[in-house]
Amino acid sequence: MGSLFLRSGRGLVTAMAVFWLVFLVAPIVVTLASSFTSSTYLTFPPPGWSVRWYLSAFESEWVWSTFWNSVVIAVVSTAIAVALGIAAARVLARHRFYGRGAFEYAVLSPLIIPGVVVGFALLNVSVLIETQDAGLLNLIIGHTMVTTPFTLRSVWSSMAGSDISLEEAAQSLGATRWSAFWLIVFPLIVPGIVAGAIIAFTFSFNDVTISAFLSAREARTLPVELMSHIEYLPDPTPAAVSSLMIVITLAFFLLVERTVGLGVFADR
Amino acid sequence: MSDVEVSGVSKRYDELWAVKRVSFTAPAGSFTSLLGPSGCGKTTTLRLIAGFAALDEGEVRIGGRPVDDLPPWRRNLGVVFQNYALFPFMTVFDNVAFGLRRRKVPRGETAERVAEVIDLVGLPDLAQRYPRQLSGGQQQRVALARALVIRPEVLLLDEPLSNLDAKLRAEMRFELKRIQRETGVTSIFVTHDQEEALTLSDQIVVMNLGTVAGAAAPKAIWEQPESAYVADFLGIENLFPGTVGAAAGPDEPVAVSVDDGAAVLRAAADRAPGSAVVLGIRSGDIAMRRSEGAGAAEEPNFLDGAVREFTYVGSAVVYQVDCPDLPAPLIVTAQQDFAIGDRVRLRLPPESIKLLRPEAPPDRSGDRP
Repeated sequence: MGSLFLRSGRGLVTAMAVFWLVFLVAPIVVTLASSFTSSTYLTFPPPGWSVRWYLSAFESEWVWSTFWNSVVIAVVSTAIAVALGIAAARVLARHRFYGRGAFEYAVLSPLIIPGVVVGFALLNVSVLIETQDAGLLNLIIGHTMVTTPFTLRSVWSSMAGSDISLEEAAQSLGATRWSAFWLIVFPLIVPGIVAGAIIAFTFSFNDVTISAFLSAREARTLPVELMSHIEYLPDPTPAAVSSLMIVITLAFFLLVERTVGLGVFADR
Repeated sequence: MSDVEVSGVSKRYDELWAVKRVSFTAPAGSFTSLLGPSGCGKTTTLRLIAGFAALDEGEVRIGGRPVDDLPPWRRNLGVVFQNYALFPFMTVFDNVAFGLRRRKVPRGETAERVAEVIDLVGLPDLAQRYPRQLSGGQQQRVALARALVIRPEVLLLDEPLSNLDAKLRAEMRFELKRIQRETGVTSIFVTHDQEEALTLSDQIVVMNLGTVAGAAAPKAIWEQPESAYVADFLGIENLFPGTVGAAAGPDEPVAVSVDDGAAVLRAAADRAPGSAVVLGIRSGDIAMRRSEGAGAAEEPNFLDGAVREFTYVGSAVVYQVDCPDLPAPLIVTAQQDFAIGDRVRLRLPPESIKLLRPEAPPDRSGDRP
């Protein structure tokens, strides 16, 4: 029985590993390889090798401007999402009130509503209140909306480990409500905050669906700009930019692993 | 040291009064237990004193000063929680020093006072350890040290011994008693364990469904519980509702007829004829012997019965005896050996029979407490 279970378990692991290699790693390898092509159009395998498309990427104005847009949007929306996530998690973890369930579902709803719907809805609203030209603002609002569920969930689950009695103990010892939170609760939820922030940042930085609706002429994100380039121009610059994004993401996760550990992503 | 006066305190959660017109006074330097089953409002009462919840009616005074408008951090109370609530990412030293740091006590004095209180609670040198590296008993002592180091006016303890195993619990009971005596801090202790309450307290406040069912010193509450509820909670095994009949004469025992049974028992107590009471007698106060004759017992306070079941508890055997004259089996503790089915004759001494006040359970709903 046991060995049969073990054997089928091993088979499953092997199948998963194969799946992961074929569908996740292979495309990355293809992208990386074709970004070093010497040809003027995207092809795989490349006929020859060169770094000309990387130079082209670094020299392209559109890459830099949209890259900075993406960074600003990701940083600002993540910061707001973390703040909102902490506040909402605290309310949900500590209070029982009428409409609590409705509040929970409202905040978490972007998780199940398709990005296209969210993007389209936000676009309509921005047209209605005539802010459709304030692209950066719209993007930040949209990204905050869809990333707050991630920060809420991870902060909330880390709060479950901090018993209310810890705060009460701190208060009985002379800490005000506010300092009890900062001295006792906050250190306990830092892993949840870090995990939520990383997920939110990554989501915001990589998002296409919602950004495509909300990007105005002056405020486009890198992934949206990349997509339109790939659509209309055959040159391999986007492949080089994609490869850079892959490398940056990997470096980012390596940094997280070395500092706080990837365990922050595990739900405890 | 300060006394704690709880007067007419009520607290409502949703539709029910968790605590309803609760009043008692914990004299300065005394040890008071709030005793009752879960859901009786004892922990809510403690939380109202601590300031973790706001009361709806009534008043709490500490050292004569009303504290209801003060937040917990201004009340200067030490609280020990059931789960100890030690700060997991702080060392033992930092846990204990937490209250002193909030009070801006200078570093040198902090170190001195922490060392002093760690010594008081009998902790070995563990100051640099983290809570998870300590045993349950050690965590308990750290929690006590952390609450005592701020020299609180009152020490509040919420079932602090319930997470310990039996042996450690007995040990910590002595320790708690010693620490309380050495510090002289007014202590209010919440427990559901009658033995803990009896051994530790100067005063026991028995609670039932959010109200105070009785309050007295352990000896008084053990010997003469006020009501049937208190008697039941303090382990008087045999309780039968009855009605008082006429007394044979002045200073003579009154005859009490058991409701739903033929038994009439005499009790050394003074009650008006016709009043409804609950007869209570401890299993150990009943004398049991094998019945020789076939005839029923005619003498007063003798009952005939048959052994239904028994359990061996080490120091004695506890029997369940079916008596035809009683509506429910009688619980009897005896040293002698009886077998199931043995016919026995029981004597219930009049001086051991307590006449208790029957009590309707308090109503927890309603708009007024």
